[in-house]
Formats: sequence, C-alpha cells, structure tokens
Amino acid sequence: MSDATETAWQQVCSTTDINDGELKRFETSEFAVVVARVGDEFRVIPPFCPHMAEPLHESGICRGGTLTCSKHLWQWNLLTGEEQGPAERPLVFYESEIRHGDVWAKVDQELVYEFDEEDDDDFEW
Amino acid sequence: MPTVTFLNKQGRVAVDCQEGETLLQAGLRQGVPLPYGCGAGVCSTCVARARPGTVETDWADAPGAQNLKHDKGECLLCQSLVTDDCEILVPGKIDLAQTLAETPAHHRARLHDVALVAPDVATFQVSLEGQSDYTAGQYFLVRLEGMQGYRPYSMTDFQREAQTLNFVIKRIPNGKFSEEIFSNDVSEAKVDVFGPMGLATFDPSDPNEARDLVCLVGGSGIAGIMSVLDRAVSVNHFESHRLFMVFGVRRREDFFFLDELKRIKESAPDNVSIHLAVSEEEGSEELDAYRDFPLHQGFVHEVAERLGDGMFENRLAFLGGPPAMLTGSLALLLGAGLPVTDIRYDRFG
Repeated sequence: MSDATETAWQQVCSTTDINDGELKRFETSEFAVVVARVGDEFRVIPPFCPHMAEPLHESGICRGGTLTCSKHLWQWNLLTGEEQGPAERPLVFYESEIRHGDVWAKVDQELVYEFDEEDDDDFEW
Repeated sequence: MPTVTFLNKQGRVAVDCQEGETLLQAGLRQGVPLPYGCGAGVCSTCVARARPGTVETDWADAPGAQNLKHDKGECLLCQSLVTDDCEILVPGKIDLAQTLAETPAHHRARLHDVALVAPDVATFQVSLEGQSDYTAGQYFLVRLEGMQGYRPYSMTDFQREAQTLNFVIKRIPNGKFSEEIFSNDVSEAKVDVFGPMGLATFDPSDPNEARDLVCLVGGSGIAGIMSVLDRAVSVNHFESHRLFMVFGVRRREDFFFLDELKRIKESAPDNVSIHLAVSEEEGSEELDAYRDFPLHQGFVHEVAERLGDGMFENRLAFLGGPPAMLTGSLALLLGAGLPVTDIRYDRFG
C-alpha cells in the first residue's frame, strides 16, 4: 500500500463507540461522517440525508438493518445502500474496514449527494 | 392577479395567485398536487425552485428554510409570495396533469371561546363564514387578521359540513399567535383560515384502514388524534378493532381531554386500552391510576415500549407531539416492524 493510499485512510472511531442500531457523527481531519452499526457490520456514510440534507445523526433511525430518515421517511438498506419505500436515491458509503477494533475509512475525497433533480439542468432560468 | 406556472419535465400548469396567498395555497386551492407537510415553514417538504428574485419569502428564518440553496432559487412554497407572474420548478416526480380530488380553500372566520384546559394548553373555536368538510386527522392553517404567517392546527373532532372548527393550542413562549391567545384573553378575533390540509388521516370506510389502531401522543399533539378517535367511535370502529394508546405530558396537572378519552374507553371497554404517562414526576415506573386511567412514569415511547410488547403488529399508527417524541415513537414502531406507510403524523414543530 502506498503512502498516499495509506494516508487516505483514517481511524474514525472505535467499534465500541457505537451500539448496535446506532448512528453517530464523527469528524475526520477534513470533514464529518456518520458511522452506523448493524450487528457487527459498520458503514461509514456522509452525514446528510440524500433527500434534503437533514443531519442523519439526528434524523436517522436504524432498525433491523434499515435506515429511516424521520424527516420525510426515506429508507435504505443500511448494508447495501439500496433505497427502499419512498426513497429515490441510494446511500453512498466510504470504503471502510475494521482494524484492531477500530473503524477505519478511506476519506481521501468527500462524498456529496447531488441534490438537483436529474432533469433540472435542462431548465435555463 | 399574478399567474404562477408550476412546471417540471412532465408538464406545466398555470394558476392564479391571490394577493397575500402563498404559492402552496394557490396551487392546492386550484387542484395542483404539490408536495407539502406542515404548510407552515417547518417541514421543508414543499421545496421548489423559482427564478432568483421572482418570489418573496414570508418568513426568511423559517426552520424549514435552513437548508435551502438560495443561489439555485430554492424556496418553500408555503412561505413564498409573488407580485408578478412567475415560473416555479417542482420535483420531477409530480404529475402536473393530475388534479386533487379535494381542494382546500380560504375562509374568513371568527375565533372565539378560548378556554384554558391545562396550565399551558387552551382550546379555541373558529367559526367559518361558510362550511367545510374535512377528513379525520386533518388541519387548517389559521392566521390572526393583521398578523404575519399561518399556523397549523388540527381539529379535535370529526364533522361533516363543519361550520365551527375545534382546536387546541399550546402556550409557546414568544410565539406571537400563542401569546395573543393566552395573554390577551381573546374573546373574539377575525382570522383567515385555509384548509383542510394534511395527509395523516383516518378513513375507516377504506378497507385498508379497517384495522386495529395504535396512538402515541404527547401534549397538544393529541389534537388530530382526537379527531381520528372521534371518527372511529362514530362508526363503532372499536367494537371490532382494538386501540392501544399512550398519552403523555410532563406532570399530571398537564393532562386534558380525559373526559373525552373516558368516553372513548367506555364505548368499547374490552378493546380500548388507554394509558397515561408523565415524564417529570419521580417514582417507580408504575404510578397510581389517575382519573381512572393507568398512569406510568416516562416518555411516551418508553411507556409504550414497556407496555406494548406484541401490541403493534399490523396496526395503523397515529402519532402526535413534539419532535423528540415523534422520533422516539417512530423508532419504536419501525423496530416493531410497522412499514412507514402505516405510521401517520404531521411534523409541525
């Protein structure tokens, strides 16, 4: 692994910082992320809802592997990111892994959701 | 009168906009199926886009406006006013060729009979110049004449061709409408109302809604739930379906509507289970009964979790209350396996 690749990975938190079914916000050196836990699986995601940018550590509810944003009830499979129910955009994940009991994520580039409607670009105001 | 054109990739529809009317009201009044939740600047469901500079906002600091991208012309339809013709880009999933079957309307009305029912809660009535139907669980937007901005209030009963609407209001420190109601002892006031609105509704004639109910409510959030229960009792819903309800307040002196809840309980004692919860009283989890109802210590969702093992499956859920209570109750019900489509609530706060 090259130095550049290695520095792209950061320790985000300990696996013991988060209980099963919990979402918590953490700061990396450059930006914030949310870590979610489903059983022994961890996912590192952008801190905002893909719908209307609600802060997911406040509005998100994780139950049975499903993430629900309580603001407008968009839902996703937390393990795959796939949208469920009324959600119209998938969750995106930072690449992550467990190292010696800590959650590490590859955070070289901030993941952001494109909030524009897919077809908005054609409208010339 | 300005013309507002709502458009997206699916089409466009033009409507008139009356003076002082928000874009959301103009669209809904003329049957445009616009997305909305609270209609009052809180929930941000009605985000749309306008050509920058073509709309004015009625409430720049609205909670629901915090994440707007003003450089892209984003606005809340429920807080946007126009003085000239304009075009509004709405989300692409909205089928603008559809027309709402039931449309809300403006009413001139008279507010009266304010009555304190708990230390920080009052009931009040609004008599319309005309009349209005509404579905159980819906709300009207109410604005005191001369005061900026509408507030949403859910009706506390169910009526057809209603001429007088019954509401409940919680005292909110520094809330203009609330202060007016509580401080100045309004005996009569002219108000503008708009409605009915809201999708957290109950229609027991719909076969999909002929089911057991669960109602988790805190404080004045009980308003719309009372309408749902009134509707249910009116068709003897609880003769063949069960109700599990937890109604929570901070201290026992904060309870209200207990006589009404007692009548609901007595309508079908075997199938109606109503529990009270207080969050700020010391003691064990189980307290002495209060006014013939079992009384528990804790927040509504905590008490519901303690009592409700196996009580939620396949039920239709109605929630009402402050944001933390809604989120806690939502988590409980989702954890119990209820689909989001079976959980109904308005997010007013």
